[in-house]
Amino acid sequence: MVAFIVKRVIQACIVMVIVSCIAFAVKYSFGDPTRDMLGMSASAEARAELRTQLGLDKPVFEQWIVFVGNVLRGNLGDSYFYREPAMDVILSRLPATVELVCMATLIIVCVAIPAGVYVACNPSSLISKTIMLISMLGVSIPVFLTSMFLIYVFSIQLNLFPSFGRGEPVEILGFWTTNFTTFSNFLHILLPSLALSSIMFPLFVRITRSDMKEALTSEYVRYAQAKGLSRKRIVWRHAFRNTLLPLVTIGGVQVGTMVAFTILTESVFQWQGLGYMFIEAVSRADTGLLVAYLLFTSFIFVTINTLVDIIYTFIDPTITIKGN
Amino acid sequence: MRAIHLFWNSAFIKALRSDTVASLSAVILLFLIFLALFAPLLSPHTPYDLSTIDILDSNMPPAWDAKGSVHFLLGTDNQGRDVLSSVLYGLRLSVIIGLGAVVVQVVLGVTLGLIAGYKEGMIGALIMRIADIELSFSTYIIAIFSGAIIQASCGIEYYNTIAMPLLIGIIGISEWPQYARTVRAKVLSEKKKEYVEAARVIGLRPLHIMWKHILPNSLSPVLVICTVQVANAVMSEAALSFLGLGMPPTQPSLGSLIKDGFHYFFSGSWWIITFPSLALILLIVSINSLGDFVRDYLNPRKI
Repeated sequence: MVAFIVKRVIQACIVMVIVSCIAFAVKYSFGDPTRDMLGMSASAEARAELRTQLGLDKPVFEQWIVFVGNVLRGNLGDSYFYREPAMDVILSRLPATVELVCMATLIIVCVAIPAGVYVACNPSSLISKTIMLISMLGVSIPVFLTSMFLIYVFSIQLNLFPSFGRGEPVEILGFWTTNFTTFSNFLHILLPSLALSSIMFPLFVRITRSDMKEALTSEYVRYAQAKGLSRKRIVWRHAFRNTLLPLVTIGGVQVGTMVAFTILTESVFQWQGLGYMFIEAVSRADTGLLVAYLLFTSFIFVTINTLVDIIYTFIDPTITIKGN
Repeated sequence: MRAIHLFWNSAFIKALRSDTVASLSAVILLFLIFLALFAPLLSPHTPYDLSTIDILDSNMPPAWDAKGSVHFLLGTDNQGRDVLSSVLYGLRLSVIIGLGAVVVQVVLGVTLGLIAGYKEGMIGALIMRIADIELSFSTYIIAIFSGAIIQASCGIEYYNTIAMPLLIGIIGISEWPQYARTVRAKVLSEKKKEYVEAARVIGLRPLHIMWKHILPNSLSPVLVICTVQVANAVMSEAALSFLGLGMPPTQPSLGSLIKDGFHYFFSGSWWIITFPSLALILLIVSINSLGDFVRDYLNPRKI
């Protein structure tokens, strides 16, 4: 067990070292920072002096060490556009994305999982067929089209929800801006999170359905039926409980994957989160911010994946650990 | 004639004909591929030829609208480009990039999977570790990051000139691990079989055994992944183009057409975005449902 955890953590560290090399390479090869700082007309001596001052005349490896040291201390460099530390820009945009992902996850838990259970219990009903059709279409429609469709129907035709932006998020606890405290802000978050959850909806319906189907044909369910327990109790207490494990683990990884889709969703809804910031950074060629985002999201990805792997071995003791 | 007859009566086609959804999507897909292949002959205008575009024709609705014109069946965009023609050309580009990316994925994934399966030990472990790491990141993230980094480091103008081969490469590189994993697992099980041992005993070279004996027996799961992957590659391309990391506006794919149309959608010009979107969805839905059919056909035990 300990060996497995150590091995997973070491692997995560190796991945982060590789990511830092890529980030450093982008930063190192792109442009001349002294020209940005001193302007085009600075003399060669002034530039050389600044280079020594910044440590840019040292060997590449030493510069990489300095870079990694800074990153470990939470200094991801500066954004060229905002002219402030990239970490501050990221932290100011982080709440928007985290809330979006949480809301989307909530929608999936409340809608997709019950839908999957229903389909498994009543495979031939009309509602089940509709659910499966929707999930088949959901796989095939890119998220930006779903988003635009939602905007068209719910904000332009029905005028129920605002079509873009976060509204006026309220600051709580001094550092976090939230959309959950007022009703009008809550309306702002609904459409983007619905669009974001539409990607994961089919996947979760399918997983829940296939696991539930398997559980419903198992010995213990038959035994429970023989005991004369009610249908409701068998479905939720016995069968559903045993499908929770794969849902938790796959769900954990998929929350990470959603980060990728926030880029697309946020750019349609102009949601002021990390994804929108990333697209802005790309169009402004703000490499400083781009590199910081690369490091930050990779770190989140790697952390989530490692944690899920470790938790997985804790919840399910039957799993064979390949860590010897 | 005989060949066509044989093909028409083969088990696969018979199974396909008896499945309504699958045969319908096969017909749609063939039609779309036909449109893509013959786009230069079928389209009434050339969207790349600036001299044929007149700004006075811009923002015209489709022909059945009172303000439309029969010259532009599906209307024109804000530059006066014929929507029908740009959708046909865009479809062509999307199909080419999708197929190209899958070719790159198959070549990379199958080769690396074959090596990893045949040569266990250091090289195999290294390949599979890289595959694990790539799989743990979402494929979209890898494609988007590579696109962004390349665009930032070589500038938008240069990026636009190499966009097509670059997209094929990026999408190809970001999706190979799936193939590598499948092929490796298959090779590991095939390797233990008697025919491989027999081939080894009669003194064939390892490369020959790998290529001529193990590979042909390991390919059927690859076919299943391939069909679905074409749809995924088309989707990735559309997503990258939508974000401005894909095909430039001068040579639009379906994704870049949707991106352009997005700006005019809310001002009432619905046709600029609707037709490329429909083409994209039809293409992906038909490939996906055909992919489901191929999977069930090749693997009848799994429901």
